[in-house]
Amino acid sequence: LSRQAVQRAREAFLSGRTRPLEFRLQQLHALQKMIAEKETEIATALKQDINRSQYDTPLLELIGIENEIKLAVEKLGEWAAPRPAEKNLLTISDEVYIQPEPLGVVLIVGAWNYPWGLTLMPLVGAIAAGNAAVVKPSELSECSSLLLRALLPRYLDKDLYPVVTGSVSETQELLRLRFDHIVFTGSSTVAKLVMEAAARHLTPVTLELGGKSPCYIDKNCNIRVACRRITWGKFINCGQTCIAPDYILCEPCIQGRVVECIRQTLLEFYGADPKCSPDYGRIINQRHFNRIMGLMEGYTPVVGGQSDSSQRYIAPTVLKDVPPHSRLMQEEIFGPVLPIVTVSDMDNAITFINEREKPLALYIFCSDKKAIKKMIAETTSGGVTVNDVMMHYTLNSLPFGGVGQSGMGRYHGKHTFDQLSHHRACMVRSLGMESVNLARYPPQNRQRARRARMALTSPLIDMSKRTLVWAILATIIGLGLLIALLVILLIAAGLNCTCWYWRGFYN
Amino acid sequence: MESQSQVLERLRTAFESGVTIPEKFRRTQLTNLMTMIKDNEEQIVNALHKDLTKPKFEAILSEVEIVMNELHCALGNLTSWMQPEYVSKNLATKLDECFVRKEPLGVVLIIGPWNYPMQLLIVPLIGAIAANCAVIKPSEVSAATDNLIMELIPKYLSKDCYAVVSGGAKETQALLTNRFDHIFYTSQAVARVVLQAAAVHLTPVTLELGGKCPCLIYGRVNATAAAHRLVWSKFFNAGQSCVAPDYVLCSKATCDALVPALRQVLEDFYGSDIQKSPDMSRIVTPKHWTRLMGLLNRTKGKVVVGGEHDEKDRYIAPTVVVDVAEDDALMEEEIFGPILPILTIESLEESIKLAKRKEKPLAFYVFSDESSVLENSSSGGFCSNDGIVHMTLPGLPFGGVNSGFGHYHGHWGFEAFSHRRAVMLRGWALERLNALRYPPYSDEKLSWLRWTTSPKSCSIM
Repeated sequence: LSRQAVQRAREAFLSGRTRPLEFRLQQLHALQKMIAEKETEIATALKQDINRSQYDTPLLELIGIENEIKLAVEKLGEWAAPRPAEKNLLTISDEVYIQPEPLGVVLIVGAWNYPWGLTLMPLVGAIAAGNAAVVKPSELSECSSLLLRALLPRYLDKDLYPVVTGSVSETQELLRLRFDHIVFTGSSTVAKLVMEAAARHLTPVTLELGGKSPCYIDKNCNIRVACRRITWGKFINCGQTCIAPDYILCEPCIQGRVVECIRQTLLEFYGADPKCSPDYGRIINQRHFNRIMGLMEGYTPVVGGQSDSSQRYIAPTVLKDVPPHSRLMQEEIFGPVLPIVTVSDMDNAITFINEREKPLALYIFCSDKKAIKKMIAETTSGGVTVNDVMMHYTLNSLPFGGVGQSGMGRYHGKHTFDQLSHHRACMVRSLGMESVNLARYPPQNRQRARRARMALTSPLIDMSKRTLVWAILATIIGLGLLIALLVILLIAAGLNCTCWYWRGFYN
Repeated sequence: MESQSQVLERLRTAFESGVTIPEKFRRTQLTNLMTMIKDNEEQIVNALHKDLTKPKFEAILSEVEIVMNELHCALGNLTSWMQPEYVSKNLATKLDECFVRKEPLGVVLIIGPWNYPMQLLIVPLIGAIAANCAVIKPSEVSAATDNLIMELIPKYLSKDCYAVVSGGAKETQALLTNRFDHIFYTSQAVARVVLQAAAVHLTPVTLELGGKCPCLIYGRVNATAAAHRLVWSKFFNAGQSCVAPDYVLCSKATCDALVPALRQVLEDFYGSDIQKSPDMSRIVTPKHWTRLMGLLNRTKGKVVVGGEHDEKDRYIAPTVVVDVAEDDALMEEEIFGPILPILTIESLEESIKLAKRKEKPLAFYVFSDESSVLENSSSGGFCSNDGIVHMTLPGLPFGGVNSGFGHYHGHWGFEAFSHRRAVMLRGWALERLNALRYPPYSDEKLSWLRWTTSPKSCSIM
């Protein structure tokens, strides 16, 4: 079944109907309509899947997609236009440019934690770039997955953008087929299998994975505000966010204050019993529930710790003085459990971070600009937000992606368009000017070689220091001469005026 | 002799010490690379002549000059390439500093091919010197150049940061089991193996492969001018270029005009006894010579120019074959040799369809005044009324689609080996604005939030 869907998508792509920008804009508008009209249904599906609060849906998923569509619709003409490139002497009379072109059929494999955002945002870019796209939502967010399968064909072209649902075996079958690009959001374990399958067809991939995103709190910052922002980012979607602050690094002297501030913030956000708050989510399934509970084994939390297996509820939990070698610190938590690991100072924190795999995000809470610069320069990560969490994800002019084990490739805004396009180098020459070309043909001699060398040299402008000095001197002399000329003219005009003045006077 | 793991250990330690980050270090390495090429130009030309009987002219143009151009480009632009890029913001982030930082990936692996052993190894290296440490693996097939590179690189570049590893298939496979932060592979043979080895470590890869680059000749075309350019780009390096026009598609009339023009141009370029001309290369190994002769023997087309060969010399004359059908032996795989099949297809539309039936090539060539070909085709790069030159401009990204992925040349090379890290520096103020996003949630908070994060909200400011 998926084979047929992919085949149809390829045929539809080869028919060329995605090429005109009007078609792509029309599809994007239709997608926008779908999200606007079906918001309630989407929210219901999310509530059933992951107990997503009514407000979290637009906040976390739909606003992002809407903004992406608005941007794409506004900028598509600009993005898809040929981009001129720099020429050398040999190509001075040619048309030289880079033409962004669609890749073909793109496979988008979504994740269960933000089933709409993480599936539809790449789709916006795929449509904008003129590709066909096979969408494979995660089976773990079952209601959303089925809803997407029902809705998408009603709004978008049925052949170009099929939705394929199913679990592991269907995904494996899909991966055996040939795509022109695969965008995968998920865990690094599955990512390796995806990349290996892609290798068989030499298909490029964009992998949006995860990791343990560290959150460093400097002792001299506004701890109250810091903790409020961290609490928001950590417990949203019940901690099941790839860029959630995974763990906190701070000095022992502020650990107590951090715990207190988080406790207070949790009260403000979710009330005394988060289980009753409509704004607090649940764990996606039993397996993950058990996994997260297992990570906490043997540790006594200082905040929270309560759970209810029947509801897959885990209270917002904080643990302090967590040892670096504990199970909690070995894998991405992806749940509402926040360990605090103490470090002696910022340098120690930097070493701690660099000893581990490159994370998807790094968070630094600090008021000292120099220290912030240092920490950014001495570490690496997919992205960084300083003095807040997750916000770099929300600005679509910033490229979003990982590095190392946290992924490869990037998207959001124009970056998705570029990632899912082929940038074709184009040179349009004419058959005239053959005399210039003669220098490169055999039979060869020294003269011709020298001429050819000169014609091929780029850049066109000599960037050496000598030329720069000469250019500056020439400009100064030129300006000087110009000023001198102006002065002379003014004096002459002035003299003339005074002449007439005196003449007039005497007349 | 250091083992592979010792080499990698040394490189990783050097990278982690941060020595490759300062701009001064990168400039020094690039300048040393430039000195290396300038000082050893003669040795390079000789090594290339030994491997491929490459004429001095071709060696200078395609292996020395092009590398020097890239070095000039890198040295002239390094400072601006390294600068963070500031991005546009929305209302919610108006007071924040938002930019993209270019960071090194770590220890990268560059595997080079044998057809342009200097260019296709050193130009990626220039991009990698964007603060990475690099392991360079030249092709063992171009043995003299391999040895020269092994000897020269440690003399000019930092020994701790850049290492050359030699060897054949076994050594390369062993090398690939290690973890790198990026792998850059040019060639065709083992692309899948490289990609699968990279998948194990989730290593990003740039693949520069090949393909059959079609050359369409239609409309009113000056046969002599076209023949000049076609012959030059086809028989440069004896056809062993990934962007050489692989086969020609044209109408019968054009073919009849073209063949004598080709014959004349070949004589103008190489003289009447091409084997004696110092300007013609040879086939790289006896194995490839045999492969090419096999294609020539199996073809059902008619050889109208050339066809001479000499096994001891690894020589095959520039050969033109007409009346070639789509299913001919010469149309099965990338020729990579001095054999030019001409398929007669009367209409341009049919030609485009034929080209589209094949895999997307690395380059697409058209000699014509027709503009529709560009939109109706897909390829890594495109050049009209000439061959190969589009890849000599550092301003154009060089890379394939289906014939690989990723690009390089000029700043594209720098980007290929860099990580673009998104950075947002927020302030402590405006916590009230932030409060819009905190629970307990409400409809009112939501509508404010929608407004402040919309991309158009900046226009109101």
